[in-house]
Amino acid sequence: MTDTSMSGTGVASASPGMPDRHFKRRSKRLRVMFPYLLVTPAVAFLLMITLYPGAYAIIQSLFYVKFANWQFVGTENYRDLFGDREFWTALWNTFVIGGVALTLECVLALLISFYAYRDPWIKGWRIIFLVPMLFMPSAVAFIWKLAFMDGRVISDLLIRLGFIDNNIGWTSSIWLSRLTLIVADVWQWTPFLFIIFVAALQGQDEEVEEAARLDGAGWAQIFWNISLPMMRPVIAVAVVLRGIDIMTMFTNVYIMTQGTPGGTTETISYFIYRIGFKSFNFGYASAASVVMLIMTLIIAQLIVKRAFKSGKE
Amino acid sequence: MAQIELVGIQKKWGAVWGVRDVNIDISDEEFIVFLGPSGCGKTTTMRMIAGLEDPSEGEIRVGGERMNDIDARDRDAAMVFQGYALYPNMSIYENIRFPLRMRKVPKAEHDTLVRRAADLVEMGIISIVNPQLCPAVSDKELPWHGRSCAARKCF
Amino acid sequence: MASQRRKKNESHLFRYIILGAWALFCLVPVLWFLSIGLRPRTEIITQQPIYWPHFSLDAWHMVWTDWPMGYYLRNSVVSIIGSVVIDLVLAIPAAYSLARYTYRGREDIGFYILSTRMMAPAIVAIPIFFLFKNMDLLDTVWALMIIYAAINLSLITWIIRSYMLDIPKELEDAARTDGASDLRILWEIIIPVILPGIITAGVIGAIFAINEFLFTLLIASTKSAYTMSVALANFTGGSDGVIYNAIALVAFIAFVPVFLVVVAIQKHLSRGLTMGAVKG
Ligand SMILES: Nc1ncnc2c1ncn2[C@@H]1O[C@H](COP(=O)(O)OP(=O)(O)OP(=O)(O)O)[C@@H](O)[C@H]1O
Ligand SMILES: [Mg+2]
Repeated sequence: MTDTSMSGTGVASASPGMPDRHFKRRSKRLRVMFPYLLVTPAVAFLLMITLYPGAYAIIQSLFYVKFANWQFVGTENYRDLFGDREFWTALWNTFVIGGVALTLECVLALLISFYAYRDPWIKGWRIIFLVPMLFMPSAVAFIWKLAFMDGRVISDLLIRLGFIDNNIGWTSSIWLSRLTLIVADVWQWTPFLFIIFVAALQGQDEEVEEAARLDGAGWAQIFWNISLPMMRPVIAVAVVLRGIDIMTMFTNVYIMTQGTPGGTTETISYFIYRIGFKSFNFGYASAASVVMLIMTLIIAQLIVKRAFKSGKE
Repeated sequence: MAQIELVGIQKKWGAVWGVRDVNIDISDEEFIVFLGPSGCGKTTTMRMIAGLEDPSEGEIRVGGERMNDIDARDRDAAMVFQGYALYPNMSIYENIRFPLRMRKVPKAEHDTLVRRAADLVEMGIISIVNPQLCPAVSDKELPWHGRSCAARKCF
Repeated sequence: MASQRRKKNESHLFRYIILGAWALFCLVPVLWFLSIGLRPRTEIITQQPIYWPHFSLDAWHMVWTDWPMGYYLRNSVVSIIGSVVIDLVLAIPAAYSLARYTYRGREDIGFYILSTRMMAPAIVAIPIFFLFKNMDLLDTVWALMIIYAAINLSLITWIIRSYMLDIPKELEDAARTDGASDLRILWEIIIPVILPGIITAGVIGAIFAINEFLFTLLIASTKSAYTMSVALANFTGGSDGVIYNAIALVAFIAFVPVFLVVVAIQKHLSRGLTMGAVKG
């Protein structure tokens, strides 16, 4: 046989211990089909749960639906939708609440991970910082509903600290109401970004850092000029994933504000839910779903694909 | 063992040449060595003989029989890889036994065959150790990677 | 020298102030919420918030006697485990195909699977509601199982795929020359080697399933399908208002196992959460 440890590859045909037999010829067709066969069940399952509902929503959006009674109305639902102030408000809210929360989460997570990743107690910090993320979102929504609204704890604390004189009606003003949603989201999901950023920072090449230090760069300079650019693909993936979840925010709205005051905290997900399952106007809600679906597809094609391509290497 | 013939073997990936027109006749029990600069196609040639790569052109014959469209797993070829390719989830003993299990050799013969293979590569210790006590391959200190890998091919 | 050292100490101090403040921000609401779960109802919603309440197990008794907590727990566990099993059965072969073969359309198939993760629940909620209605599956754990499996399949497939990409190709070539079929290789080598990745994927999928709210809200309408996540919202309303102490306890009952499991897989968490895009 051949030398195994050096240039290393050797082939030989066998074999005294093996049973004698003829070489089997396997069908080439099967070999080509095999990888497709492996993905088929998963893809079929996902098609059932996305393609069918997608088609259903498109068709339903062309009808006026009242219980079992479907009446064809063409594009009327869409025309109504684009003239509907509530729809545009919901879209605007989603972007405002989501945008502010996402920015805050990203900045905070970067800041904390920057201070935490070389701390000797990083393992402990990580476990502590993870805690909010591990509660069910519905429970978290109740924590903050109680803290802000029903229990008035936050107002009380602010009064004790002398910032304000009277209880704040958190649901009485647009921005205060949005703020409660933002705080709840930031509290629960900053850890998500933190965990990912810390892993990326810990994974960076220490030698590069040391070389930069020898060249006279301070911590902040290293962070801006070396760590941050290196983390770009990681940040992209993390922000895309978080962004998707935030743009579909539903639970907190459902539990905390129900869209009050006057629809100003209603997100697009909550809008669809309310039109569909509270007003039972399914055709109209489906039209909104289709619009949202198209936006999702565009975002997926433009942003997500790229983020995952670059994050992979 | 058997006679191996390569007739006009070529391998191309798109525009990249891996192997260009190789013709070799290796007779039974002949010992042959490929020598050449890095990237000249040694590994690729052997991978084609083992059936891990389909030649773009030409024919591979073993014992006179055309092998081109026979799966690697049916060719009954043994190959030692540059990186050893030991299965990290199995003990040394299980690594050596793996081809026997795959080829449906009767269970009763496994132990004798594994021990004989281990002896052949002078890993005698394995034949006195209880198979269950065999160190897992992931034990980095083991000086036996190459040998165990070779033993796997000694049937 | 001396001033340099002082500067360094100051920067340490600053670091601990930041980290300590964030730790407080994370933990104080949790501890306070725990105190809510362990106080009598009369001390929750009051004129002035009560910071040092009396201890009471009222909520604990209520959760187990007045509320069919056992059912909620069972529904959660059954639907989540079922969905993870379905996902692993579908995802492992799919991930293997995406990680190890080259064929036409592979990139597109992979991206299609990934993109289902982006589908907002609200988009498909209405059709899925009617789908389950027509299949007579509303208010059953089976519907929940299917829905959770669908939500998590992309995530689980991509995580497992990323771990499979780490396995050297030679290992499979070796097994192939040893006479193993593709499925044998998957079963005897790939799966055991990436078991930590598979467990990570399963755990993360399970957490997402525990958290799921919108679909569960639509599908479940009685105790035969209510899960913990949605049952919480059920502790509201009626003449009594929101029953916060019961909510708090249920939240902690769900939190403890999740916390323990996550601490156990901590090392793999960042990789799992980014669907394999970031190697932790
Ligand atoms: N999968 C592939 N796709 C494209 N080109 C390849 C592939 N595998 C090998 N090649 C190319 O084919 C040529 C031959 O490669 P091969 O690995 O057979 O060389 P080698 O003789 O074994 O070299 P070494 O001594 O470094 O091991 C190289 O130029 C290599 O870049
Ligand atoms: Mg080589």
